[in-house]
Amino acid sequence: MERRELLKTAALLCGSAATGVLLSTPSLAITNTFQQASANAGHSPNLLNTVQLETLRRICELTIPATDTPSAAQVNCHFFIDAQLSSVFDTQTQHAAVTLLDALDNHAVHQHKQGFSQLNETAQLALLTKLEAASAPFSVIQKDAFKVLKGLIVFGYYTSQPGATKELTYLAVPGRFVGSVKLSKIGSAYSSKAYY
Amino acid sequence: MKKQTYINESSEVYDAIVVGSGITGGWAAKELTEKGLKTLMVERGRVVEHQKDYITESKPPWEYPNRTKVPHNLVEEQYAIQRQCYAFHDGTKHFFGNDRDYPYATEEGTDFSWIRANQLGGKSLLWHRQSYRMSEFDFLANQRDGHGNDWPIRYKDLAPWYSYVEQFVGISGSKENLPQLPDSEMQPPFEMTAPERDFANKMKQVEPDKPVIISRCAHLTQPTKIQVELGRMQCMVRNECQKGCSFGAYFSTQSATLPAAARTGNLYIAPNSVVESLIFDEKTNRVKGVRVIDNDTLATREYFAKIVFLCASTLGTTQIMLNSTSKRYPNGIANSSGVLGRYLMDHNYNALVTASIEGYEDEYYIGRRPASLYVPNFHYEPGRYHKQFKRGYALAGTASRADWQSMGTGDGFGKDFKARLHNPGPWGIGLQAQGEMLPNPDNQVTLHNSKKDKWGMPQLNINCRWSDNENAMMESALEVSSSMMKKAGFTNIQQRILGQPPGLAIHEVGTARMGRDPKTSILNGYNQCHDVDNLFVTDGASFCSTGVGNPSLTFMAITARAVDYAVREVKAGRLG
Repeated sequence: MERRELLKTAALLCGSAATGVLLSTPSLAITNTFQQASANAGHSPNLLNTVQLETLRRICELTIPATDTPSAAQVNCHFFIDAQLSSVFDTQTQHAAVTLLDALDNHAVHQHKQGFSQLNETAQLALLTKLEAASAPFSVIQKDAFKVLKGLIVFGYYTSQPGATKELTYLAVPGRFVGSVKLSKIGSAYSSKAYY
Repeated sequence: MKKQTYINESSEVYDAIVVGSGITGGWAAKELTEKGLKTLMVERGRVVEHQKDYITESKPPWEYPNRTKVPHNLVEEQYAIQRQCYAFHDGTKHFFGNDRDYPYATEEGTDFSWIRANQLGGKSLLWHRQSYRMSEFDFLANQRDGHGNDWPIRYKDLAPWYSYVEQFVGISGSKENLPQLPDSEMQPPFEMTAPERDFANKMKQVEPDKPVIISRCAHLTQPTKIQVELGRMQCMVRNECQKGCSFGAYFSTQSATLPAAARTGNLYIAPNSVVESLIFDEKTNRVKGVRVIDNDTLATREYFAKIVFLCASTLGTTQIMLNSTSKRYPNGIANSSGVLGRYLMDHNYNALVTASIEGYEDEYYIGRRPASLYVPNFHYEPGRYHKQFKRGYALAGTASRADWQSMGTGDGFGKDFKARLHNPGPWGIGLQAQGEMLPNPDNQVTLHNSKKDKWGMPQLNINCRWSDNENAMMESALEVSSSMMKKAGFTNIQQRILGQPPGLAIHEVGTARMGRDPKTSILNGYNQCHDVDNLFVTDGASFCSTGVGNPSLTFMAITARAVDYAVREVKAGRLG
């Protein structure tokens, strides 16, 4: 467990009360943190359990880390994905995502005697890189399930307000179409789209 | 809209009733009211007020509970058909019909996706706004190759009416002087991007019969007095049109024809009024009005008028006509010919080719252009037909840079991954065919013999399929598009047949066709029923063939022309 990071997130999301709980009883605290955080974020985690959600939070963080703009985890992509999977996707896709997160954790325990979220960043990245390449111990089916999750991380991040407006360029009302302009004048890709 | 515009119960005999309020109904109402006829527009759905009811306009994705996606259960239960439309999402779903409430049947072994927009404004709120004239070749096609019946009108009959509606609507595009695609009255075209411009220039050299032009669309790029007076403004290139546009920058009933009709003082609207059938008077052999079922309460009422314009969409109009039976017309009103419901057509959009464009790394664009590239039909007359199929197709497509949406599942993690998505990705291009469908009597809609909807209307039973002609055309479109891309130097050329059923081009036409012969057609050359002279059909049902162009502009021109004729007949004492 990267306690400092979890602490930071918890503090950010829930204020000091939740942080206090977290310090006293870690396992219970994770549950409380997510419940309160999700209440704050307007989500009610209903598909993923706390371990799966924490695994996903780490994947979000490693996929789109904080730079001069927030990370995917900081904009709550993991909560978003939990909500989006529950609401927008069919049970087969939900099941594939849940199974994959469990598998990641199981492989971590098998290799390192620790759950995925307790591993250090290097070990976590090593597992994810193998998963993305469908190399042992991961299958192509697992890789495909991961790509769905990754697509959701990206979708969740760049449709979030910080991702859309700080990391990329969001043009609500462009005003006039210009067919040719130097990229350097815009500065980044657009997040705004006609259809998402 | 003033409150008194909306009516519910009325025993008044109006000068005219217009059934439907979409592109066609809006035009009929505008023309009739401007010519002094007291007109009742009958709309089956709810009122949608311009601006006020565009509830999702400008709403950014993060403000939607599912970032514009529609919950799975809701889609499965209520929008399984509508979701197939590219424009269906959480920000537009309130303008789509609910499949649970608007059921229809399809003949076993066939499939048809019927996209619905049952509210004031109809599909004018949802259309893709691409606007093309049909050409002299389109109006001659049936006669020349023997499929379908000869159109009773020619291009020259409609040309002045195209000009008339275009000046009001506002069409952007470029003058090209092409025989197969007559120029419209145009406002300045949208620009091409750098690789698009180079592609167009290259094709001029190597494929001179396949000019690549910018598409023509009903967006104001330089509003004229006519448009400004109605409160319309220049397009802001948001390309979020289907949420509604408070700028009135794209043509819709709400932005254009409805305010024009309302300011005459002659317009009345009966919303929430599902037309069950036409009231037919056996003695006079004329229609007297419409029987209506209330959309919400299911109560019945009647509205009366001297003439009736059916503009309820191709299939909506046909359903009403088939359900209007009498001793004289047991198989549907004005259907002595028996062709009512036959010759259903759509466009076939099934051939898609994509490719990568190398270079242009420093090139970008500003705005979400509501226009695309367009390659007009190059098989536009029998001497230019491909040996494997009749008629032809246009190509439409866009070159743009990849972004987080298309690159988001690429490999990698961390800062490098994030940096990669920070910049726009490589350029890519797609070209999709828009193919003509041959008129075929077997592509037919009938009333289902037992299934009804919640208003008690017999459901439409749709029996429609692509023919070998359309399938061969799509195969050819793949080859041609690929060849053009190859000649342009594009790489990674990928061909795909999409396998979509008819319906999804949302260009359904043909089921109450015009013609010179009352034995083989429903309408004469002025969209007037051969059998019932005060009944007009001016929506897509009246078409004899589809051509390759998007049909809405022709709905408008044909409607304005029909109204002009009808009012002249009324004033001459021959009608009403």
